[in-house]
Amino acid sequence: MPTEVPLNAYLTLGAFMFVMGMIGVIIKRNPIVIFMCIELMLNAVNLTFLAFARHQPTLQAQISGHMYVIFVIAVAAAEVAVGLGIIMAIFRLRDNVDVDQIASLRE
Amino acid sequence: METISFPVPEIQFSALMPLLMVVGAALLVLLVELFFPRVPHTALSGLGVLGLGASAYFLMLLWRNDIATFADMLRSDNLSVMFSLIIVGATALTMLFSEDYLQARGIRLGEFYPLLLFATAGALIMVSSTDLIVIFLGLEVLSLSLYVLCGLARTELRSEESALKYFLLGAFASAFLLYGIALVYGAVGNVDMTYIASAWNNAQASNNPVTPALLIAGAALMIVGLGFKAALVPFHMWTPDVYQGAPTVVTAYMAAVSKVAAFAVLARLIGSMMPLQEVWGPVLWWLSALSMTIGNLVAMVQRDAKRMLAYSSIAHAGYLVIGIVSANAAGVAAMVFYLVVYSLMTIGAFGVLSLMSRAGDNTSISALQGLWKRHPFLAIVMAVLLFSLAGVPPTAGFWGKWYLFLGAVQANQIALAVILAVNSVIGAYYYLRLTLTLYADAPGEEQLALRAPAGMVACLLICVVGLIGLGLMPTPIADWSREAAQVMESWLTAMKP
Repeated sequence: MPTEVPLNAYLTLGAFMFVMGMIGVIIKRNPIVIFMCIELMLNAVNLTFLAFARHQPTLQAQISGHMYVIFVIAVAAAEVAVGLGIIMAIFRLRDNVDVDQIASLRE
Repeated sequence: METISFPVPEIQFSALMPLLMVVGAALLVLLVELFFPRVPHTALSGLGVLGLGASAYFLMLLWRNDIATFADMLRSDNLSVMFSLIIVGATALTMLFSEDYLQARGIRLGEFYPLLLFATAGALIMVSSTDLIVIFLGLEVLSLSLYVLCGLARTELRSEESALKYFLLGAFASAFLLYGIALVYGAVGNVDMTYIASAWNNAQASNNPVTPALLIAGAALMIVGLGFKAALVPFHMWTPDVYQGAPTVVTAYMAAVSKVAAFAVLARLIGSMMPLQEVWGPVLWWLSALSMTIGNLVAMVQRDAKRMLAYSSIAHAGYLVIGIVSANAAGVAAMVFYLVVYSLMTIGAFGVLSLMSRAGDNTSISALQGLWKRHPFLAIVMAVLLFSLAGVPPTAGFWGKWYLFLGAVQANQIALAVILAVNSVIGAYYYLRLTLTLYADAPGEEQLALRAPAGMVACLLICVVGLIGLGLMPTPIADWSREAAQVMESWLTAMKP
């Protein structure tokens, strides 16, 4: 009989993904890659939601966990639409999107 | 197979009307712009202001009616009504002077108005819910609209750059907030913040170590996420760049509305976590002290007026946190009052700067020199706004700081009250220095005469009259703020361990 993967394993994986995404946002220079790291963080959150949902006592509480994930996915999709639009607009203006070189707003 | 029954929740549309009015106006403006592209944009902004007026009317009907509807996902109590009125008013003030600015900058996009109204709808959702996922959705509606608004000047790299920075850091902050919500869900089994306190107390009673750990981690992550949105030190790095690069009308709107919404959520969230006070108390104390001090010190050395106001807004965010750290009804009331005053001051000040930052002009402080000769009315208005930002007595800014000070003293946060007083002096230094610049003689070269359009004059008059009026007679708004904060009082006292 297969044993169930314990809650802690999911939570640890979620936390690991979140921290990896966070490190990526800090060290990466290409906005598209930074954005992918943010998506990784959001997916870590989704995994955490689903892992917790499985261990809720009532059906109502379980289902609400699943529902939150769908909200997060929808919001992430909306963020992609806006974010890629902004990156495209910058690319049109200067053919280069490295965040270190996008620094006209400094003194 | 267990079947799930979902009872249809009872819906009271009266609580939803303010939101529906704003969203309705946004959709209407969008359709008018689509089918009648030649309609002058002033008509679009007029439609928007009408929608906001209707929203304000329905909000006033909701005053003193506690309504929780949509299965408690939407709450309309005095606090949310007060915050909503500030947001709606700030949006209307921004709309008054945006058309002229957009024309002068060559941003002839009718989409500006629907986006502004959608952002307002998001902010209204944020302030009128205790359900963390609903708050998150409201925050995203607000933020996504703001990302686009920041990048509205598509041909200018500065504008696009500010949009990109705001977008990346905003999405980063949202991820933190969400992870915090996920941990709260794990601990409580629900994302309504009103359940947090009892879950904490039950766990303490039954010696359960997991729930408190999850709640503490969740609270920390949510404070980080909201700290980004409210521009608190050390999560403030994006603020000066974004405020400087975005079109000035958007900056005015963003500085006022997104701060009101973030502080509304922060106040409720912290109120719902009263039993965890030992955990968040010191954290918020430091956030407040650092924001005040660093915001003011860095603002002193800025050479660009927009950047200076951005850093000063960080300092003001620090002042506002005092109201939350005090964790008493007086503190929250002071915060609400300060947000009213802060919105008037910020929108007015950025409004004046929007006249300076037209094409070819810049917002460096030296460009403001001799404003008195170029346009006496603007110079007087700006002086009043700066006096209020500095907290000089006949203006409302003084009362705002005074109430925060009193709240902190009542809560026995003497050190924080002293830091507030010291920072007011530092702030006064650079605000008054800027005021003197306005009246100094301009350096030699010929300067263009400024023209203040009617909408701008109306907006500035409202701001100035409001600030002086509130300065002379703060009682009505202060009383309403107190009444609004009573909602929190029951939370703050009932949930103490």
